Amino acid sequence: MSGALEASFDLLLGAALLWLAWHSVAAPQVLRRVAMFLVFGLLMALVWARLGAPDLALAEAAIGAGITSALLLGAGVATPHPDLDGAATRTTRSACGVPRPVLAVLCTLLGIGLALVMYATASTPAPAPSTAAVDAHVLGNPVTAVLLDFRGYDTLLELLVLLVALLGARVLGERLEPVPATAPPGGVAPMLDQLLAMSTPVLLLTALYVLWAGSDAPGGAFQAGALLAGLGVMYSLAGRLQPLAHTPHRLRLLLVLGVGAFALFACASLLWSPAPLTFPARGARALALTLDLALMISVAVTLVLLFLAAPGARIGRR
Amino acid sequence: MSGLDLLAVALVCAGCAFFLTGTLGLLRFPDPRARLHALTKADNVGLGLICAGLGVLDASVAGALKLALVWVLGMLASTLSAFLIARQETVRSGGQRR
Repeated sequence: MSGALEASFDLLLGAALLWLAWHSVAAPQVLRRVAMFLVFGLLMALVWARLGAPDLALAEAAIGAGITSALLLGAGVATPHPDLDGAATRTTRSACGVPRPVLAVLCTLLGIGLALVMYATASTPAPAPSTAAVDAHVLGNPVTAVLLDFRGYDTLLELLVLLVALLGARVLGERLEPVPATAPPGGVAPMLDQLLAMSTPVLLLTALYVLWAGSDAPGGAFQAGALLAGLGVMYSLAGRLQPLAHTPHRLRLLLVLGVGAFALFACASLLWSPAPLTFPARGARALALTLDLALMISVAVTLVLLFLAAPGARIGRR
Repeated sequence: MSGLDLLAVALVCAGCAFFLTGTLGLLRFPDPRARLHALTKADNVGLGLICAGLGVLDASVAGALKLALVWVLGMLASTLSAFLIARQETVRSGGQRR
């Protein structure tokens, strides 16, 4: 009885996912698509939780549904694209002046090239970490062990991808028409300050707990970073954080903190091991926590700056 | 099924009914502020009832406290987001408070 119930629940979940996925790319308005994407992320988190992958569920809920949707909203609200909004003014030339068919062919070629490269790489796979090695690792959470130790290189590259994404958003943001800032009426809102004051310590505590727990239980730097970024998004929506025309040096340091820590670790690990990014026999836990902390800060700062770089973040500012 | 189980089922069902009503309001009410009103009020009660039902099922003090915390945090989040959405709507509609 309960087996049939669970199966029908899973079927319903799967069908809803497919429906949401379709509408998040095919709905007529951008806003509706983003809303569908958000709900898709939440249901996806539920699916991961049901599959017994709480780490992925946390990451999907915080990064996939939360932060990504906020970014998409910020980008989609203020950039009514003629193609996306179904207006009849289709241009044959892209923003950089190259005819669209040429761009399409180039992108297809690039895609095929990337696929070929990936295929070639995939046919000579790196030796997968054995289950026994993961189980015996000093970090109790196998996901964190794989992310930091067995696949540290991938994590380092993921951080670089985030940085490049921020650079791209900054460059694109400069090309966009600035959105005229409209002041929210009624001036200062005393309730808002109270609410922010109540939720800030809770979010900080949760993020640090998720980071700390990540060594042995579901959690980790990316989830914690996304939670902190959520705090930043909240402050930005409340008008406490303004988009920056210029990133100060201190913030830039925080941006590269994760990559820097990983690179330092890679160099230092050559002292005790022939291969880079290998954990030492002693002090691995403290090292992992330090790396995670640097990762979390960089992820959070990058995500918040990404959100602030989106044109939607300028709406409703004083 | 014991009496406690029945109580839990009744609480969760009542919570779901509140959620359903709130969703109906979200879909049917005419303007954003009315929709927010339906959503925040009904859903907060719904969440509270569901948490209470689960707390009865869990039957431990620690579990009940955690569920109570979930309810309080849910209300905090919904208050904050509802306020921000309502303020944005006031900006969009040209600052008129109806």
